Amino acid sequence: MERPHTVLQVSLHHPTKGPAIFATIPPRLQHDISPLLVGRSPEAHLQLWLPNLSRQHLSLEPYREMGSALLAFSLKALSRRGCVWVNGLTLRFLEQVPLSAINRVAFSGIQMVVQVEGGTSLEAFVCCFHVSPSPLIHRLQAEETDEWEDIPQELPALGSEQPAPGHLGSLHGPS
Amino acid sequence: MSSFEDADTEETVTCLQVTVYHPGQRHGGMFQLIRFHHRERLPSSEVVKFGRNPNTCRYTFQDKQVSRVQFSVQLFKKFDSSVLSFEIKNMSKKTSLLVDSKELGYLNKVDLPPKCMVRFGDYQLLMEKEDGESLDVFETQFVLSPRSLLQENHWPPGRPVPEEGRFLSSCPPSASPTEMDESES
Repeated sequence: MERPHTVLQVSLHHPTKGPAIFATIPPRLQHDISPLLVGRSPEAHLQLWLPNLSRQHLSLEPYREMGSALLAFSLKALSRRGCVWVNGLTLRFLEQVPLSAINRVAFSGIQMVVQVEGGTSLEAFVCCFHVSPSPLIHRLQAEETDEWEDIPQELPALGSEQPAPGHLGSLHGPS
Repeated sequence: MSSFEDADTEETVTCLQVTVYHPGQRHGGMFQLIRFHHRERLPSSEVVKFGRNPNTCRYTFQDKQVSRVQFSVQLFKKFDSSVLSFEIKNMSKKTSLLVDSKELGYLNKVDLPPKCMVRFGDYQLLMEKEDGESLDVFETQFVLSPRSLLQENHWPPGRPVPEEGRFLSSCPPSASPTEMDESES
């Protein structure tokens, strides 16, 4: 019997570029247990067309914690000039952190919420992508860098807008 | 100004030195595709795979008892640290990997200590990190040891067992491990 895959529910939003930049992203992507690369390069598994995105900007690496039967994930920054904001931490080139069940990620203007739904398959995992018309992250507590120019540091409250899938409300850095 | 003055400041490069030993290395030829005493420079973002499949592995062991991909090593930085470290991940479904005394099952990973012994089956690999400054590249260098590294380095004997835990207690020490190949993949 086939074991259920771990599913990463990935919500994406860009505040100024609109949903067109996500047009090439499939709704569902099954990937083996190698790191999933995100970037501008044709070799990237999740390819995004943004001029300030590095060819390989970040990776999501599946692994197993000692004693656990389920996949866990770490996120590694692969951009030499850019950085990646993850759950309140600003990662620079080669820095990596483990992901938790729900993760707020921002890079090159993109806001991304990754929710990990555990499965027992160790052969592959699945990413389900949702493009959100609404902001996913309302407040980034990150250091200013040249890459954050088009990420609003504080966005207005959504008011009457319908929350998008993966929307987490007004998010703050780590407590 | 001379070209010497114009030249960029040289950065030191992190190096992973790997001293290898296998009891059958004299006749087995398992290390014949490894280039010894050669510093190979690799991009810092590369995930370096070790195993039997030359199409997917940077370093291959010519031995059917080795998995197609046995383990991988990659460079990383801990958050907010300036120090580059290596981590190792077991990529074999059938064979566990010993890093010093820590046993890694399939997809388990750990940070490599600056000097440690990595073992799987009869393979012994002494991994030593030489610190460097460069963030762009790192180097690897392989050395062949003529004798067991366990004796030389006073590591405790013992061999990693498969994840299922049904290995070795019933096998004589000289027995070859069962096929490690992930043939189904």
